[in-house]
Amino acid sequence: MDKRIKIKVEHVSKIFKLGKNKEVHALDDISLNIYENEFLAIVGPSGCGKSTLLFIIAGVENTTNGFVYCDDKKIIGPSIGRGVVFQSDAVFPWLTVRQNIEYGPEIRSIPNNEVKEIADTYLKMVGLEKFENLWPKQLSGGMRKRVDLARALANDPDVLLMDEPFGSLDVITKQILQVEIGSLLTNFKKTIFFVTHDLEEAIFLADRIVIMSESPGKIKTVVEVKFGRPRPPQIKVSTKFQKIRAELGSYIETRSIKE
Amino acid sequence: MKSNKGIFNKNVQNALVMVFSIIFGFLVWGLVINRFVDDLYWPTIPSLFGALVQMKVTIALSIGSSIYRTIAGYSLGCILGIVIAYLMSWNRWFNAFITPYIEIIRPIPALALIPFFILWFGIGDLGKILMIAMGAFVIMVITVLEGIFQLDQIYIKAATILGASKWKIYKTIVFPGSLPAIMSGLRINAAFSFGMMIAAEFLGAKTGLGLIIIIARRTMSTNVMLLSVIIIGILAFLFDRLVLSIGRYVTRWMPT
Repeated sequence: MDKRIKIKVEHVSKIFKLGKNKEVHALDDISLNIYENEFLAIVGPSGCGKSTLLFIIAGVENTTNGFVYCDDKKIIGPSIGRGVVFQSDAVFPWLTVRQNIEYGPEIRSIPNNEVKEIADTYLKMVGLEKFENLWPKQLSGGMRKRVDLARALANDPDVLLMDEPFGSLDVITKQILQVEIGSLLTNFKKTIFFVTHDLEEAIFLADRIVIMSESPGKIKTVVEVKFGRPRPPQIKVSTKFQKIRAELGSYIETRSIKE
Repeated sequence: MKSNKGIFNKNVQNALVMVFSIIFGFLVWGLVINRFVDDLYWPTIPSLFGALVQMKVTIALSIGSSIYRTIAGYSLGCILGIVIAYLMSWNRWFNAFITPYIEIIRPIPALALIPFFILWFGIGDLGKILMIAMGAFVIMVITVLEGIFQLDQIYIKAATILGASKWKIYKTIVFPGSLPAIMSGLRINAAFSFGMMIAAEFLGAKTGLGLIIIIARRTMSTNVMLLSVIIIGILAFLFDRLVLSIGRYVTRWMPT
């Protein structure tokens, strides 16, 4: 496996000021390398700053200290090379499924016929060809997630940042999407940064898992998951999977006992 | 037991009752009210139609000039309101500069300024159009600004990440995202503008439905007064329905 560093997070801290004397250390001196084409999951309790880190990498959130580099260049703003799939519903409700997917290419003034081709490709990939002319409100939560993913992919980013994308879905839809999107993403050469609080989801999808602690948000440990990708759903009941699950669980549990 | 026993479904049943209710109202009017109340206070139905036939040319011309003033003032005020609201949200310096003026005119009932407008612009069309426009403008600015302010920031974040510039974000996110607010402003103003038009015509005009009412009051022609009121009601109703159906169409994507 090539180990070229795609994203380098260097001593990043983020402090949110709440009122006059109150501060929250969302991120405390985080350093992390994300390698090219790896699937990196970041797991931690709610409020540990993992989503903040994601939006810092996306370039829409500032750091208090430290810098993030993408391809050795300092990140100073958003770039179409880094796409985001959101936690909550971020699909534009006033655009149809197709128009949502066309949004990125269209605002970059790509010729119309190419925009159409791109949309066709990704509509097919996420299995929404039949729903292309519907409004988002006519879709289920799982389908809207697919639109969000297709919209991010339509810009063909090298880096895909996913912020608890399945967090708001029901368990069944979540499992279906994990399998589908897990295998879909292995067909691409993309670096994936995946935020979740679901350990099993992280083990099922990721090459490496970063465990974070909360307030201040720090990296506790990094664990490698040595399964090939894509992974069949049955892998979740294998002994190896459960062993990793137990190992990671111990990190999370020590935290909760201590506090 | 089935809840629907008759040969008609519920909608048809409701419609039939409504038709009956209207006929009942006319019967009460013609057979009860007119028997006990003098014509001077409440006209008879035949005298209402008599007034319509007798004054059809004057009424038609008045409808024309009243509609013209209302639509002109309404459009001017609404368009200006939308544009200024966008500029205020686009640039904070502009916002800070304009806000005091908006806050000064906001609490003043537009009606209170009618004498000023007559003084400045006379009793012709221009003063009335500007009057209606000013009232509509204030309502529109505030409604649209609120709509932009309430827009979920996640859409702007998503568009920024997908590569949109500030101008593109306004065009593709802020504009459609504030359409529901724009439509509700347009609807509030549809009702407001008609009221404003009549009030302005009461206080001085050469033509218009408001003027007809004022003149008819002097001669105690209650039938002409009521006829004008009914016409105003019908016009305002139709205008509201037009704005409402346009609004429903352009915001058909909205989750209910």
